[in-house]
Amino acid sequence: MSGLQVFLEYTLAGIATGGVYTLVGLGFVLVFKASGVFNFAMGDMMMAGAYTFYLCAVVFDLHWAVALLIAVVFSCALAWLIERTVLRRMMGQPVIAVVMATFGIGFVLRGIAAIAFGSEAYQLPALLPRAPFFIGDIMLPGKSVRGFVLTTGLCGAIILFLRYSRAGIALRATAADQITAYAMGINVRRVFALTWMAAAAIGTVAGVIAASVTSLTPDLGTIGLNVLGVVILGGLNSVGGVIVAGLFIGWLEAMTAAYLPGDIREITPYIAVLAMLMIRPYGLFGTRPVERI
Amino acid sequence: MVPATLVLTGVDIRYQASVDAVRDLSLTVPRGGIVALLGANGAGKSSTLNAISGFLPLLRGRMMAGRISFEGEDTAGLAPHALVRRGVLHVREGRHVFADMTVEENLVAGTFALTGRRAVHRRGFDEVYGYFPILAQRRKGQAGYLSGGEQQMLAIGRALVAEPRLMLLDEPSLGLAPRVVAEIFAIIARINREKGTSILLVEQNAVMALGCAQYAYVLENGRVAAEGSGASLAADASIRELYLGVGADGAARSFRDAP
Repeated sequence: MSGLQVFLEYTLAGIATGGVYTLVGLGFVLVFKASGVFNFAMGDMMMAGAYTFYLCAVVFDLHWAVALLIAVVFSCALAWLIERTVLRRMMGQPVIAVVMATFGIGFVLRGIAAIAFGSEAYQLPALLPRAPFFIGDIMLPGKSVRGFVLTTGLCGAIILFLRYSRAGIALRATAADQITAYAMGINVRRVFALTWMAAAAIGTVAGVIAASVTSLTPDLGTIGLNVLGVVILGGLNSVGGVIVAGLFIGWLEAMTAAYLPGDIREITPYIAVLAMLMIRPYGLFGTRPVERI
Repeated sequence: MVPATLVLTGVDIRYQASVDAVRDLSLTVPRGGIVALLGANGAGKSSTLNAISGFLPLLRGRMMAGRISFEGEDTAGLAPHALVRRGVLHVREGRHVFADMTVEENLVAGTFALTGRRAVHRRGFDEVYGYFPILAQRRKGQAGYLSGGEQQMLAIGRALVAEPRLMLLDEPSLGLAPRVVAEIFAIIARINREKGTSILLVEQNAVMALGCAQYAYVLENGRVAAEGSGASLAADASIRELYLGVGADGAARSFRDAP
């Protein structure tokens, strides 16, 4: 393989991973923007969605599109339940208490998955065809290309939704100023519930993509830790920032895997985040202090 | 007798179980009337509005006693968005436009107040633009880049979208040039006249407020210190001294000491 081809292949693989980070990061940012809560259960909600997909697609042998739809609906319902039973009761409590509750929710979800499915790794059916793409003489892995197209489309849809839909305006209004949002007649609590459900839906898609690239275990949610770096890098309240940062971290990981030895890959994103925070404490595009974590 | 839009009886407001912000306040806003609530900083004017619009719990405040009735129904304890959807619109002090959104998106946010009242669709907002032509010119511009006066117009226009039956206006003149203040008050009076919207107006600019209100209450340390028709309060010597800046000695006095 030529040097250029290595670079391009790793770049593309990195951007595909980055797309998953971006999606999960968007789930974080939506919830944080609306309610100021840092949702540490995001990665585990993603894992729960992926298991539901596995159950539908493999155990019940449904078509992958149907399985994905069911998984999205299920995780939305789960998010709604979590919002109703745990978070709504905690309204008015200090944010740190709510954040701790999301930690707990994450552990519970992981525990349930471990009890129900055990800790062995499952293979998901190939969600996307593997047939390679060619740009000139350069062969690109089909799964990465199609994964990238899928995540790009989803990110675009989310941006358009936030920008132009009425519900998007309600969400931005709630994010900007809760009391004024109430004064507009916006049901702020319902907006919170909707952002949790949206985050769960996005997380499910990300979880299915991530699990089909690697494999499905109850620990799939630990990808949320990488995403923690992503959202801090991009700025906790910035949709644009998380997209750029997600793709960048994914690419950076791939580059270190290609050109640097062994385990450095694991810590590279955190070094990048650390360096960034020294220069811009609120992240690339963030506007508010991150005191709320 | 014309039924009142809003009646407060014996309202006590407290923040975090410490300070009494408002004590034993009773006031009435008649249907289609403009009532002014005057007083110095910290007299309890904004607290009163927050109690009416249901914001107190969000601000760690509580109504300890009293009744609030809007159009004959007890509304104390309703969630803010539910009150808005009944037609109680609170235009908060400091305008609070959504700075990152366009003028038109701010107005779209205002349409959530129509939920449950009638079918909501994206309208042209012609009525708002009729009252505030400058907003029509700026409709695609970011609200954060509007001047203070234009932001105040947007805040009022955003409430107007919701077809309010009662508007609570908190300091619409705050930080604005006299010419702009006059313009905004003229439009407030027009909205009241043409649409029959009842208005409860909190103001530090007592001259402007008494100029357009039929009736006014003066709050001091959370209690009603004086009340009367706009004209009679404007003529009252001690009111003139304390709120219109035309006193002889200029020394601060309490209304309860007044004869």
